[in-house]
This record gives sequence, C-alpha cells and structure tokens, in this order.
Amino acid sequence: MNRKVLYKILIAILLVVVVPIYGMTQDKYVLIESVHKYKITETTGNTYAWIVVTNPNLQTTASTSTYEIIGDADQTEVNIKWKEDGEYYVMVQETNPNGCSIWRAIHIEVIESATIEFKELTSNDCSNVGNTFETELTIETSGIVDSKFYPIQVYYSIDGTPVATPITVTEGKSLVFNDLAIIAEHTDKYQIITILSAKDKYGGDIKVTLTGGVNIHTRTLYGIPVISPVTIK
Amino acid sequence: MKIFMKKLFVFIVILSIGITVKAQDDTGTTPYSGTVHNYSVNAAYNAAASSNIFTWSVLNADLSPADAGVYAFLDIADGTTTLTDVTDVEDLVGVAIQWNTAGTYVVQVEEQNNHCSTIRRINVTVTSNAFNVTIAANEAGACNSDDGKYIVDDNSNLATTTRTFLIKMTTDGTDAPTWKPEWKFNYNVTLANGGTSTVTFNNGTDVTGVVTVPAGTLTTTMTVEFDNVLGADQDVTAALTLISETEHDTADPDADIDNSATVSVWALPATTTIITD
Repeated sequence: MNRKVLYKILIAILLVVVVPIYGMTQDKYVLIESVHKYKITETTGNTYAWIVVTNPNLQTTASTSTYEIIGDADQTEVNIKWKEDGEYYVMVQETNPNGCSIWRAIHIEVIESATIEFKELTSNDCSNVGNTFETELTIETSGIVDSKFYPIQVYYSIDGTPVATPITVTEGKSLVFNDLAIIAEHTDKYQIITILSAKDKYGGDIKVTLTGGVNIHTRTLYGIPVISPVTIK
Repeated sequence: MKIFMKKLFVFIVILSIGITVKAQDDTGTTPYSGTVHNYSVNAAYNAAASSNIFTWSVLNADLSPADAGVYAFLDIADGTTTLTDVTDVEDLVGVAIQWNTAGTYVVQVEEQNNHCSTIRRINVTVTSNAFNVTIAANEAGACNSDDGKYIVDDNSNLATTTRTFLIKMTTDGTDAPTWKPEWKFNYNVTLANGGTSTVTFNNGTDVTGVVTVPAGTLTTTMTVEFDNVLGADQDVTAALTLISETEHDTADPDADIDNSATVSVWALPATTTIITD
C-alpha cells in the first residue's frame, strides 16, 4: 500500500475515532470555584431532585464541603459551584406521578491544574510610548476545551497596587492594557506588572504560576533624551 | 346364614359406593353438559334384518319429547357432524349425542322391520360440567424493575421485569374438586408497548404452543419476562385460548370471560441525559 494512502487512512481514523472521544471527555473537566449549569428536559407533572455523589451506582453522597448547589435542587436545572478537586457525579432523579423514577448522572472532574503566567518576563519601551501595552500569556487549560474556558478574567497589580477591573483575555492569550497612564520622563523607570489571579469563563480558579517569578513582567521604560531648546545663532 | 347376610350387606355397600363414585364420572349415562357420547344398538344382534329402520329420540323423564336445545344428534362416525335426520333411517344403529343442559333424560331407539317394531331406552342424567379455567395476575400494578435505578446515558443497563399469572382449573366451583383431569390450553402474551417476552411455566419450562397440565394438578404459574423501557407503560396481557380438559375434551364454558388478565407495568420517566454548559 502506498505510504501516502496509509497516512491518509491513519489520519481519517484519528479524526473519526480519537477526536470525538477527546471532545467528549473534555466536557467533564471543570475548575475549582467554577459554577456550572446542569439540566434535563422537563416533563410536566414530574418532580426532580439533584444530588452530587462520588459513586453513581452506590450513590455515595459527596461531602457538602466539596460543592454547593446554588438555588433550588428540585428543578429541571441546577447550578453547582465546585469547591474541591476530585471526581464527582451530578445525579438527578426524575419521578412521575405513579411514583416511578430513574436516575441520570454526568461525570465531573474538578481540577486545579489550569495555569497562567507571562510568556515574556521583561520588555523595553520608551517612556513616551503611550498608555497601551500588550504581552502574551502562557495558559495551560489542562484538558478543558477552549470554548469552555475562554474568555478568562485576569486580575493584576501595577507596581504593587492591585487594579480592581480585570482584563479579559481570549483564545489569543494576549494581555492587553489600554490605560496604563505612562508619563514620559527623562530617566529610566521600571513598571512591574504582577498577575494576582485569574478566572475562567465560569469563574473557576486558574492557578497563577509563581515559580521563577513567571507571574511578574517587568517593563523598562527608558527615559527620553533631554534636549535643550533649539537656539538660533 | 347370618354371616352370609353380613357379607352380602358389605358387598352391597361396597358395590353401592362404587356405583355412586362411578356415577360422578362423565359417562354415557351420566354425562357432563357440553360433552358428546355415543349411543348404539348391536346391529349384529339382528343381523338378519340389516335393512331395518331406526328412529332415535331424546325424551324427558316422563317420556315427553325433550326440548330441542338440550341436546344435539351428531354423526357417530366423527362426533361432530350434525345429524339432521334420525327418524326412520335405515341401518342407523348408532348416534352421537351432545348434551347441552343438565337434567334427566331418556335416549330411545325404535327399530322397525317390515311389520313390527321394538323400542329400547336408556336413562341419562346430565349434570352440569363446572370445568373452568381462570387466569389472574399475581401482582398489582407497579413500576418495572428499574424503578429508582441509575440508568446510563445509552440506556444499556436497563434490565428486565417479570410478572406472573396464576392459571387455575376447577371442575366443581371449588378450589378442591374431586375430579382433576389433565387439562390444556394455548396462550397469547402481549405487551402494551410492543416488544417481545419470554414465557415460562412453573419450574421455568419454556413452552410454546399448547400447555398441558397433568391430571391431579389444579394450578400452573405463567411467568412473563420482558425488557424494560422508559417513558411508556408496558402492561402485560396474558390470554388463554383453546382451553379444554383432555379426559372428555370439554371446552372451557366461559371462554373470553375469565381467560384473560392484564397487569399494569407503569412507565418510568424518560429522563433525558444531563447536559451542561
């Protein structure tokens, strides 16, 4: 068999088999502190009850310290805030007017391994560059599909002062500042940007990598030359 | 002499009891209603007159003609073909009679040669045949066996449910009849939501077609096993057909009245899979 044909067949198998599996399994990953919605289709007259367990067959109830059901647990949909890493199953019991019921479950894996850091730790600009600045981030989603992760909110400080409003970062992974209020000066200065925290699309904690100071980006703002006024001799 | 009289008395008592017990059986002189029996004279006895003419009739105990509906003359050759003419029929040395109504009757045959006639009679006491087979569900309406169970998204762990029916024969309207003939029936099991079922009897015997219950056994249990479904009632109906006892081939007298039973198997919710954002 022609090698090219063989490669094509292998790629086709990967696309048909591996990609769908990957897509399915990714749905189970969520971050600590994230809030996700779980729902089923309503049937009029039936009642519903949601629980979180660690074993769907034994219905071993998860510790209430590991999750929080936000709002009512007796509707066709429920919001759950995940508070501790681990494997869980969200289960719903639907009961009809005859008293017959079944349970459905969805597998959830709460992770804390998504990370964020600066790709470049230093940069140089003239102090009259203006108020905007853009630098790239390195983000590891740990298996969470991009569409269920982005946009994220990045909280930071400038020269040690936290900024209340986070910056929204998309799949492009660029951290874009638009109002840094740089004042042109004649001497070199340093601007320290520190990532304090980050949240994914559903409020899940993205771990800020601290090792090696990769959460800190130092901008060197060069002083502009001191030029005397132009005189006419 | 006294000893002889005592022995004679005991003999008579035993004989009487035997006759009494025998009288309870379904015979030509003590038939059950609904049964067919043959009556004939020995043609060979009068073989010289092979072209004699016979007239058969059924009379009441007072020898008045019995009502037409209480019996029917059938061809003795097959026991099923109706005989339309039993009067003045040449060489009609035997007939079959289907007894329809309890009562005391006389079967009479008149044989006539060219000039003279002779009449023979036999007394017949028809008793009600209480042979009856009923079927009833053993369980009340309930959810299927997956009630309260965790069902995986592709429903592949749905189990099966069994429901049982008690099939009972009586011959005298009581649960402890003295006459316990072999009996048989066919059956048809249907599920309200369609699908197939497995039917077994008593010890798990899988029977297709006619089920035969041995003499002396009054009940049998039908077990129906079927796949569970979501979102639809799966009521099970078991109907018996072609019911009869095989000793005299008496059919069930009230077919379709108590020969069918239904047990409700309530639907489980057709819960969708859980989706998340």
